[in-house]
Amino acid sequence: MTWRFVDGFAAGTSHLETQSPCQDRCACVVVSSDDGGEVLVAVVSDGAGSAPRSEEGAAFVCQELTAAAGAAVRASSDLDALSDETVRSWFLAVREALRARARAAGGDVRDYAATALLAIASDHQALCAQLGDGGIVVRRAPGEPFELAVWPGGGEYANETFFVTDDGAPERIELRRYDRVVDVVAFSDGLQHLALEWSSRSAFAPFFGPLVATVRARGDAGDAVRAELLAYLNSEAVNRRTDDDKSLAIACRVEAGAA
Amino acid sequence: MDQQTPYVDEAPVTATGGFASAEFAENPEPRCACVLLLDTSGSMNGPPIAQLNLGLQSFKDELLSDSLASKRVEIAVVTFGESARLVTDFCDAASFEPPSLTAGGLTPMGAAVWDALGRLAARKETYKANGVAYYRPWVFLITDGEPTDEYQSAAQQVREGEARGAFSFYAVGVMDANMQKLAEISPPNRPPVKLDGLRFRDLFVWLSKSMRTVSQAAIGQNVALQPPGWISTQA
Repeated sequence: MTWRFVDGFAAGTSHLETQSPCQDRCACVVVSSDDGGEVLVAVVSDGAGSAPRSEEGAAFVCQELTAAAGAAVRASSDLDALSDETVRSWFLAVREALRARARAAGGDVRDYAATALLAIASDHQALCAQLGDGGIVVRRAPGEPFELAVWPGGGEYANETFFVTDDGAPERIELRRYDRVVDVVAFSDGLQHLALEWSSRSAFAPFFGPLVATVRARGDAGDAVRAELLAYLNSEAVNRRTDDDKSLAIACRVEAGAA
Repeated sequence: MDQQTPYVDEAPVTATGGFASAEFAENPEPRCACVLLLDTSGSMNGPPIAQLNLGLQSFKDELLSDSLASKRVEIAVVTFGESARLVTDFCDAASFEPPSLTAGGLTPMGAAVWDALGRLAARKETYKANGVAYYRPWVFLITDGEPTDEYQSAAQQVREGEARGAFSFYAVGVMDANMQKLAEISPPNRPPVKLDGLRFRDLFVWLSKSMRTVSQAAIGQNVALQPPGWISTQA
């Protein structure tokens, strides 16, 4: 396999105190294209703390975006053939499905409010689509800088963000395209004060370096490395710096022969 | 989910020390500015100003009792009596020295509102210049009278600012405050409320709790404030 990856989510200490569930979800898959390419699809979704069914919303976002992107890249690994409109339509389909689900449950679609971050990386291109807080960081080659796709936070204030369930969602999806990348890390807002530097509005390299190095070295360890990631997300060091839910999807391309 | 997933002990493959060797960015705490606009006109003399001073002490104590709020909430105090005057510039709870206010003079509320809003805008610029994330600031006005200066332009400023989300404006009338005029200054969505007697302490305890809630709201979270128990329900 071209990619090694690991993903996991963990409840924030503030959620544990109030006994509210972890409302973050993430997913990572590698799809084998019909044209022979191998394409990474990673999704992170953070359910709004104030929305009663946002955990369900976040899980749905991960499931649906992974499925939609997976189907598209299975047909072709050429991301240039994938239009912005198509990518946006996946987000809209998620919203419409959540609206239907809310109607059926006699609730409001905002009950399912969740952010939606999607990263797709083929052998030749990468694409990031983001709605709401959190972030996606990519690296074009080992030794190159970690690049943040979209600076998080749509609004002026620290507690403002956008959700896939918003009326204005379509206009707020931010898309970025890259040539070939070797590392992809997606994370929820619970980690963004640890992972990003506010003064320079950029990815904090000493955070990302060890993550990708570990996955590159241990990514074939399967459940063991996942357990390690969860232990890390639940560690005292992380919890000292954030009391929010946190999720991480880390993927690294391993060169043929090195796998 | 099991929160304490046991570490699966395998021989370390990397020299990097695994995920735990990831370092964290050092970012300043996000801030939540709160400007107190306090009436120190002559009519506040006696028990009202004394209770107000005690209330300010409670405000500090309550904020200090919460480790995050003590780092995140920034307090400024502007009074209006003899003149509109900055008594305390923005500072955190630990540095906040509750002033011992004295009453005297008229009620230049309009000038004080202008002053407060100007300082708030400047504070935001400071945050931005220093890469500090911030929450929507609060302006909290307390008066027992009515403006004795031109206040219509200040009222306009409050309403516009509130409408575009620049701040949240709260007005509290004490005793014989002119609630009509206070309503003219307040944003339509948040009419002024009347303090029950001189329950300044309860008011400031509520305010500190609210600031704690606001300053710890997770990203994207709308805050639900506790209903204020210090409001007079008499018309």
